[in-house]
Amino acid sequence: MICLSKNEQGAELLAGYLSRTLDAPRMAELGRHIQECADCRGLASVWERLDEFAVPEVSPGFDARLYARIASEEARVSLLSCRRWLWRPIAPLAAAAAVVALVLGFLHVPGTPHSAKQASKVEIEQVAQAVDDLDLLTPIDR
Amino acid sequence: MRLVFTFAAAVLLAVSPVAAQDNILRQKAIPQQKAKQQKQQQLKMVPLPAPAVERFLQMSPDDRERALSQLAPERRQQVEQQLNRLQQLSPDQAQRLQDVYPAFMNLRPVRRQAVRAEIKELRQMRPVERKDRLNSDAGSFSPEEMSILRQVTGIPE
Repeated sequence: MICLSKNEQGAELLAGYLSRTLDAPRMAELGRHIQECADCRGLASVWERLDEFAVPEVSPGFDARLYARIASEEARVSLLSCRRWLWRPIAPLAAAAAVVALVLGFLHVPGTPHSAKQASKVEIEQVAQAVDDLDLLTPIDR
Repeated sequence: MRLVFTFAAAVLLAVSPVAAQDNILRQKAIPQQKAKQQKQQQLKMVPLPAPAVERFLQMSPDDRERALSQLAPERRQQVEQQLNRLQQLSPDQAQRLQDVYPAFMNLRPVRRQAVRAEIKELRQMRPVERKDRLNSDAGSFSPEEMSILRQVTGIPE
């Protein structure tokens, strides 16, 4: 008896069942179990629904723009928090604090190359996945 | 005799820097020629249907190197080998790939995974076995998926 909720490899079994990559006896056994077990039936139907969700195509360079935006937002937030921390009612120190805050802000800006690196990593992984698929789909020479 | 010898030495001294310079220029021209040939080859190729890969191929060699260096060494080697194979496809194969890839990408992710697994199996088989397997696949795969499997294997209905 395979119960997805009680099996340690439940998620893998479910993925295999939904993609029909399990061997025939396991497919049949799990199919029968899903008919009988309400929990597993619910789990399978949720996954099937999720799978039906059509993910809209993203525009080229979406990841790079997203990571750049996250980085600039992070830099802005850290700059604001530094300013708040440094801003004291002590008037003579205010100007100096502003300068320090600005310097700290500049020190935080170089976070951008890191995020650019992250973005390019994501993109090269997308390229690698697409290359895998293209290679796999290349017509077989008979 | 001495005069002849001196003249020969003078000619040799005068010619050798020219020859060396010529050699340097020729060596400099080799990478340029190679890049030009690569560019011409790319222009002749049917473009690959995956925009991400096409964008990658349009990158400068330095940018490409930088991007590839982010992959693990084995993965990088695998991707480079695959790219080499893809760049050597015949126009007919490239055209068939143009047809099949968008259809594959239109499948739901879970079905894409099933089709991937099936193609891997089919690739391991002999042509006769492939035909039998495809006939038995009809029950497990949708008409769209079967069309992809048939296009990849080149086995018509």
